[in-house]
Amino acid sequence: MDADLILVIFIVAVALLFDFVNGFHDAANSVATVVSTRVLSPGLAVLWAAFFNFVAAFGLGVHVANTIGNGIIDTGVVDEKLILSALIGAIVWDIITWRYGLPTSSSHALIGGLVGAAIASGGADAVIRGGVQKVGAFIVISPMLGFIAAIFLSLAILNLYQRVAPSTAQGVFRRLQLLSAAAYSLGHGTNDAQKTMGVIAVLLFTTGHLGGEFHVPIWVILSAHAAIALGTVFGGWRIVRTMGMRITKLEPQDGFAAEAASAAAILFASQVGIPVSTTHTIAGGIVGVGSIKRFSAVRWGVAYNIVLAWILTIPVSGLIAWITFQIAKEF
Amino acid sequence: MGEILRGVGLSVLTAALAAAVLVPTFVVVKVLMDLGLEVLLAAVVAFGLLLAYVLRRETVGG
Repeated sequence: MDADLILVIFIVAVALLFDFVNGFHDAANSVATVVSTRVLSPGLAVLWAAFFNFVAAFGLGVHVANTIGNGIIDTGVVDEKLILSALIGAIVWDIITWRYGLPTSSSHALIGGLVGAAIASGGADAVIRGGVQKVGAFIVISPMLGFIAAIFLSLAILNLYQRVAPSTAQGVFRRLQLLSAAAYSLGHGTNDAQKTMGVIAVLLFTTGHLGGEFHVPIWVILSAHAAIALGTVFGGWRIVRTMGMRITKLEPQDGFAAEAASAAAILFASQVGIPVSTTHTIAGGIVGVGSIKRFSAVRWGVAYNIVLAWILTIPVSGLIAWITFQIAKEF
Repeated sequence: MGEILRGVGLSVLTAALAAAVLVPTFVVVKVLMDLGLEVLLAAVVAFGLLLAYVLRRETVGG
């Protein structure tokens, strides 16, 4: 086996590790509301989410993988060192934010890493501006969509349940939250696992292991979903606490509305090929349902800290990737 | 038995309501997106801020 192939295999393993860390870091959001409303125990909730993260491999397309693979940076500058630097930038930032319990976006960390490493390799022209602008716009759009859709859904539910006894409503929403958590985990699985697929596919393509046409092989699809599902199983409790309990107090119907609205927003983005932050989107949904009850019930200080961490993600992960590439190119 | 059936009926009705709210919402989002990314961004931000303003006013002391 030649040295180049060993390096490619190593980077594929690092990409899958990133996916695992993504599951560890982000997927806990899928279960935050179900756990905080005590519909499922933490252990069962995590297994529930992991199952649907994996099932998302089937039938939801690879539009986001195509965007990551050839819509963010020029494939002409991509090589093993660039992809490795991008992944290191994203993983290091993910670990730092996980350590401090900040629900930042692994997706934006990866995009920041790709952009930083591409600039280090080929200058600013190596970045596809249209692709980055689209991702940048959706940093704002996706949480807003979660926020707006969750408010619409909450208002409709309040209207429907006006004359229903609270105990009956609680029972209904405890069951429905299982569905909304499953839908959210499907969305998370398809959008986030595809980011890793895109990175692996562009690496295989530019190193000549994929033939003449860019595509995502089935083994890449299955291994990316398996990695994110495993990450979810070992997932981060620290972030579950931040999302589910610190932004606002949630009742089962709030959890249902936040998750269903966020799932719809993420599945929509996945179908139009836009990598979005699943963390941003569920946070928007949770803030939306909190605002319906009482605007001041939302702990805006916590929300502000989360937004600050979001703003830092792309520049800092990009900078780490840029530095890593400068070191890597010396070897 | 009646209580269980009522619970199942409400669950189905709520799921249908969620679809009836979310599907048209995202159809509108797709139409705005087809008009241009700037149009979608401006519309979503303006509408989100308007909703936040109304909720802040309406839920004082709630």
